[in-house]
Amino acid sequence: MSSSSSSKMIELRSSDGETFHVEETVVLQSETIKQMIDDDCANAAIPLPNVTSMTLAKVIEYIKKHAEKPKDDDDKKVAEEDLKKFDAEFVKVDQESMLFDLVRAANYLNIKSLLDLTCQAVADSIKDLSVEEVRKKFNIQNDFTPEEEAKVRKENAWAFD
Amino acid sequence: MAPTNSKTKHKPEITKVWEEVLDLVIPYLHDIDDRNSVSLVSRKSYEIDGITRKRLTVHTLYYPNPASLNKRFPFIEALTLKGPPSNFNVTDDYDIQITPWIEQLALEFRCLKELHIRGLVVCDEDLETLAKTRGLSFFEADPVQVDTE
Repeated sequence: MSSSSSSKMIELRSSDGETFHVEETVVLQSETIKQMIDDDCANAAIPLPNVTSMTLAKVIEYIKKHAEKPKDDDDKKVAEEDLKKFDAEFVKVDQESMLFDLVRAANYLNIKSLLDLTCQAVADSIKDLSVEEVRKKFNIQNDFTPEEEAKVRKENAWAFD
Repeated sequence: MAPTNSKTKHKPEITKVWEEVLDLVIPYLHDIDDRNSVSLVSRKSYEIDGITRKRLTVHTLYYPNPASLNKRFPFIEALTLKGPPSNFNVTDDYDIQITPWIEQLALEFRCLKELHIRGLVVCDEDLETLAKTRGLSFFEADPVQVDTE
């Protein structure tokens, strides 16, 4: 970490106008921001109109942790274990909406490992739910006609396992 | 007044936003029952499930239509075709032909890397069709598994 302390700082601005200063080496985990930096668009604060300050703070916590470099091989093993624990704790959020916001932010910022982590956490949370429960959770209207729905149901039941 | 206004203004946005989350999450559902459930949530989730499914087992007895399978799951990578159960009495009415499947496989399912055929008779012509259209490398890389038990 000490070597990166002299790294250039990048300013990010959340949808609610809060600014965050993050080291360039850390923020490069976001492909979206990396592209902006490569295109020389990061001289002023980078506006992130889709990400609230609460979500952005969590995202920064995640990328900072994932930017830590182990000193040697022994340290590497410990660091890997530590990172696993961190990831497991990271997705244990009080509000489900926070997890949903993190999925959207990871997608928008294009941080593959965070998208994998948060999407898998949501996927695990809808495991074994009924169709109706999934609709309710994501606030989705059923737009199938009864005939269409019956057809898919039949196809699912008979053809695939 | 103000809170009511903002509430009604926010509602449709939230609906769309949460739906977007489900769209992103569908590829992370690996259990077949979860996949089948999510395909029934809405037309869009049906579509996303279809294009992101990689593995599939089809009971040809109940699903005799290869073309519509390709339409629903165009990017399947591993396909298992199963014949009728061993205790099933095959009559003329239920004569299951593998050839229409092979012909469809020759035309479509461009992402297919693995094919397993179980409990169905595959004739030389079928294998020839596969070899011609898929190339011999299809057999070398991931051999077609024919299991007639």
